[in-house]
Amino acid sequence: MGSSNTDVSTDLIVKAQQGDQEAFGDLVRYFHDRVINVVYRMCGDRYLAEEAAQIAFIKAWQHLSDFRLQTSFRNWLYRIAINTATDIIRKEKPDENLDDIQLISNQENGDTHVENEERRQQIRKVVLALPDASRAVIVLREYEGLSYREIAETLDISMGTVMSRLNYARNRLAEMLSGYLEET
Amino acid sequence: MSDHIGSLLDAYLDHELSPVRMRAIEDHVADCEFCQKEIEQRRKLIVLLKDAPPVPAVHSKDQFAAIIQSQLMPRPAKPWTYQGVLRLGWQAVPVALLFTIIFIQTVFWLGNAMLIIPGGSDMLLGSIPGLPIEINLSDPIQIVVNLFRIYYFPAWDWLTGIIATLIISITYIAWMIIWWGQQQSTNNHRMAL
Repeated sequence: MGSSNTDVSTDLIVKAQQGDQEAFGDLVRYFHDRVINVVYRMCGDRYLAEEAAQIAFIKAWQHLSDFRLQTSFRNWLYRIAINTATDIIRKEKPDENLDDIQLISNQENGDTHVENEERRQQIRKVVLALPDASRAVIVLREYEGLSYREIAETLDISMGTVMSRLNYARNRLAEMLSGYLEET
Repeated sequence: MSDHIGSLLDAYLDHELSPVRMRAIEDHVADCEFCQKEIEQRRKLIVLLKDAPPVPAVHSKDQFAAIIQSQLMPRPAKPWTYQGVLRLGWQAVPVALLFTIIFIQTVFWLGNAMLIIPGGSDMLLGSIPGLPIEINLSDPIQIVVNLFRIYYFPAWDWLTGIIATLIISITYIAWMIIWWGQQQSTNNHRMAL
């Protein structure tokens, strides 16, 4: 369940809410990797991800007094990070359509390392081409391991919507990555 | 279950269905080759997705935190929020307990000392406005009752004194233990960051 702050000291959050910048710095260090991971999977560019993460943390600081301690700080932060990443992608990157992506599946060039790298890049592209809403659900589920309830809480949507978006996203990905799925 | 898993496939693989539903699907899948294949493909997809390269970091954690901290504007804390009042009350607990113990002990010892001195009790009682001359100076409860006109306190004797001091001491120690635990938890988190 994501409705508690078992992964981070509540005391640290309270201190940050009271205006303690040192405590907030500790929170930033604690959640840095996870937030960067989420925004990177959302926008696919390390510099955009860095920018999005910075904006997200600043926003979190500005609205920290609105955060309710009974809810999950991590999920609250993820929501800010995902919204920020989505805004940045809309401004900075043109839409990439799934149908425009050409798969390079089943290529055998003899170098397993290169093949793996190509496959990973292809998967990254396909994930990035998903609609923002579905991509957010996939990112939280596959890369952050959140439960459906936690995803629903983070994105402020119903469990049913989580299920349908995840189903849609995985169907699309399975379709686009069918070449890889057959070869494995 | 006559139909295939369909849209429940993902929830089933992610163990997000009720045990009854999970069992029903398992029963169906055991006899359904189509669903078995679907599940197998989905599992492969999930493995593929999870095989993602690590995120290339632009800054280290500490550098990143320093950048953020340099951009933080002082944010005034909300005055008198419900949580703020609770926090203040919590912090006031040890002060109130210490004050109570000091008050009880002072009154007790001072009162007894004044009783030893001939005429000392009358002199002290006469100097405090609002206190009747006939009360027992070594009884803190009587003094509180008469000073603040609170008449529902029980009678004060040596046993009441011991119990009250015990309760206050235990509460104080309990507060200290909880406070120490909180400090340890904060320090541990700081060490882990």
